[in-house]
Amino acid sequence: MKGLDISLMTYLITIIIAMSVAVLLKGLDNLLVLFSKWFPHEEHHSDDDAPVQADESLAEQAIAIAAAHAKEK
Amino acid sequence: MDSSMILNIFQGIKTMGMSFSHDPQMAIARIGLILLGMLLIYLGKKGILEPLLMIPMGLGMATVNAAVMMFDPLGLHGGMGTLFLEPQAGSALSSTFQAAGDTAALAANAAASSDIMYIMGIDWLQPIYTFTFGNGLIACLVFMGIGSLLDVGFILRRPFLSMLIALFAELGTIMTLPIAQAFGFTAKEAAAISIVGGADGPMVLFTSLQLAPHLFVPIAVVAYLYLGLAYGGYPYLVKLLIPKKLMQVPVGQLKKEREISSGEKLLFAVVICILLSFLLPVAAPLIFSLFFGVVIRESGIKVFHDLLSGPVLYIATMFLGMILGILCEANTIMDKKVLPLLLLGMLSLLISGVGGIIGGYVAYFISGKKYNPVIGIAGVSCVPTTAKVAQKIVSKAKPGLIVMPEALGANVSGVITTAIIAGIFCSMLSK
Repeated sequence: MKGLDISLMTYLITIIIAMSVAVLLKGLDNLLVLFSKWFPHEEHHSDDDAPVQADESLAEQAIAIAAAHAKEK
Repeated sequence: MDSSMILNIFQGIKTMGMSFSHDPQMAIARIGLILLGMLLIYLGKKGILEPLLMIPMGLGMATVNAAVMMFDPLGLHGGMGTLFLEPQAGSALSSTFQAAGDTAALAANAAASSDIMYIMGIDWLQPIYTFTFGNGLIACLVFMGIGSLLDVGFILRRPFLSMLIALFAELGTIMTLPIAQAFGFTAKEAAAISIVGGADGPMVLFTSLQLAPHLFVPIAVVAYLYLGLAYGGYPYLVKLLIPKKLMQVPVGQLKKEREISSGEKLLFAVVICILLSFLLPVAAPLIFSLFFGVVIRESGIKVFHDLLSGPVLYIATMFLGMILGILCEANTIMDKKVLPLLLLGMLSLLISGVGGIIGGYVAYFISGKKYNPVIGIAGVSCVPTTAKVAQKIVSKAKPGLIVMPEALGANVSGVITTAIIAGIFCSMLSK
């Protein structure tokens, strides 16, 4: 098989799988939104098994980068 | 005491002198690599290149080329070697696997195994190399650590746009494969080289070990060197291709913004892990490692999360950098296949960067000009480096503008698309 054929076939399969994953994510998301009306979402965690909040650290990083640039200016 | 006796004490000088008289190119390469190692340490310290990788790599590279002595127990390097590690020990083992059952092949396997055991008793880093590099464990450990830092919620915000950008950012991987074949590489070698365009270190290690183990060292070194350079080079590419006005475009609000719970993220991670492993079993170890990290993070097991995101990730990264540096011995780097590799690796990352920016433009137009095209560079899946690059450029163009969540969505999608491509390459070409 030639390199170009391998590349094209790989890209085509990748597009199909990646977009299927996106459809799956969106579908699951919609399903969860739908079911959340019947099963109200309630999360409880003890101090020992609290979910890790790295979103906050990423948001903090973004703000820190923005602040650093503002300071430079 | 004659001069030969003195030189036997200072064997680094002796081997350098011998290289100058028998093979001057090798001697020059040794000196060049010592200087390059020192430069990497300097650039790492200055923060121009990623210090976590470049400082151990630079010191390893400089030291291993200084410490060449009259020692070559397996007779592979013309009587010269080091006490660090021997990447070629047992190389006959993998090449004779397919012929298992054949008496001659079994004998060769036994000899290769015995070589590995012998070298492990001498070279101090050989056990780590043999037990973590040869089987891809180091790549999986790094991926577990990266997974524990990933938030799949960022893809869930805009799954289609994130995947679209990531697909454009794979153009380097896709286009480099036929170019590498035109350079005379086999399909397996070309695939292993082209995956550099995915900009995902562990994926490069894994694919090259699966498809072209004989090129593993130069491909891994080239990939990590360029991933370090991407951090410094991509901002220039973005500035060249995106006008300042478009860098200031804010990302539009979602129609129904809602908080995604950790339980939902856990469910998504489990489903995607099983689905991708089902489709691409060859890449399952990497896929499992990545989503294992995600699942640990979202299941709220704090002690495991701390273990993966701290000690596991940093110990694996430290040994990865150190061993990659030590593998940069002049003998290995002077292979005539390395120069085209340097060019192809750079080309692959360049095309991926341009592809990502094209993806950013496509997303900008699809969304009705409510998407910042700079986010496109984050489709190149060097987590979280390219996302940080995107945020840094946007912040400079318009202080206070935040694109980090969308950039991380494209980043995580990039990891998924690179894993898919690596899996397809390995499945299609490994037999």
